[in-house]
Amino acid sequence: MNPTAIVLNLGGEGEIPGVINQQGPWVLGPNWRCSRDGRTFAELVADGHVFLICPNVPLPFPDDSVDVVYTNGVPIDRNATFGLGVQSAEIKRILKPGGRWVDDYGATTWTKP
Amino acid sequence: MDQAVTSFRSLLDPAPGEDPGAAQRRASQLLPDRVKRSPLDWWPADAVPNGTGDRLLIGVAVWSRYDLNLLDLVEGVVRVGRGSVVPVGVFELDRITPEDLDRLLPGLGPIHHPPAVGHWVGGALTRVACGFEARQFVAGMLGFDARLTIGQPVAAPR
Repeated sequence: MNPTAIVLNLGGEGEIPGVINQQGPWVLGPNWRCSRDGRTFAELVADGHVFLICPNVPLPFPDDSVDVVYTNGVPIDRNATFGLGVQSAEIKRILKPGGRWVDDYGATTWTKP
Repeated sequence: MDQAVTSFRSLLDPAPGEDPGAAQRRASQLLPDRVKRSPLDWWPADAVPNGTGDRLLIGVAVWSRYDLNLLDLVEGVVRVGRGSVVPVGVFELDRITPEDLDRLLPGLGPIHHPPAVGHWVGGALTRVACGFEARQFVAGMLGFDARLTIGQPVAAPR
């Protein structure tokens, strides 16, 4: 992959190496644990995973600025128990033309025209 | 087992051209009926928590393949009557209010990940948990490897 590519994993917990994992402020809570293996946020950071902490709306990226967005096991376009989920309009806004949205470990992929 | 019954995991498989949000909405619509066609019990939001018996209650998120994998594994155990099997109730987390969740699983508090789980023994709530801990607990109780719930391979950046 292009080393200058901006690759974002919304709701990510480090399951995809080398990308920016976006999480909400809840990740800083004392009881938060990684859903895959129970690691704390501090442990994930110590293991080298990069995090961006911000709400799902708006995502702090300009229009047409991101190369790839991953979403694995996160609520999309719905109000979930955990609050407002990822919004597809935001994903489509921040993707570059030709950028890809890869959902659910590759189950679906959308490419921005 | 009825061969026409699809897996819980497959509820989230997108139809051709279906966007992820629509796939999740469809999975939510299909979940109650799928549970009712299983040996698990669909748990209404207004149901009273367990009376005097034993019960495992699992609140899942349809947008989580981990949770749907969990239901497939739980169903498999319950169908063959393996291990320490108790009646299992299932509800969808996004269908209920925080107040309902507190009533169904008192003491759990705000959850950071699905699923949300409660275990009653002799009518007494003995354990509540969410996320990774909840999957570990259910797997240990029913005798399967919790790592199977996250069996989906990780997509490498391309």
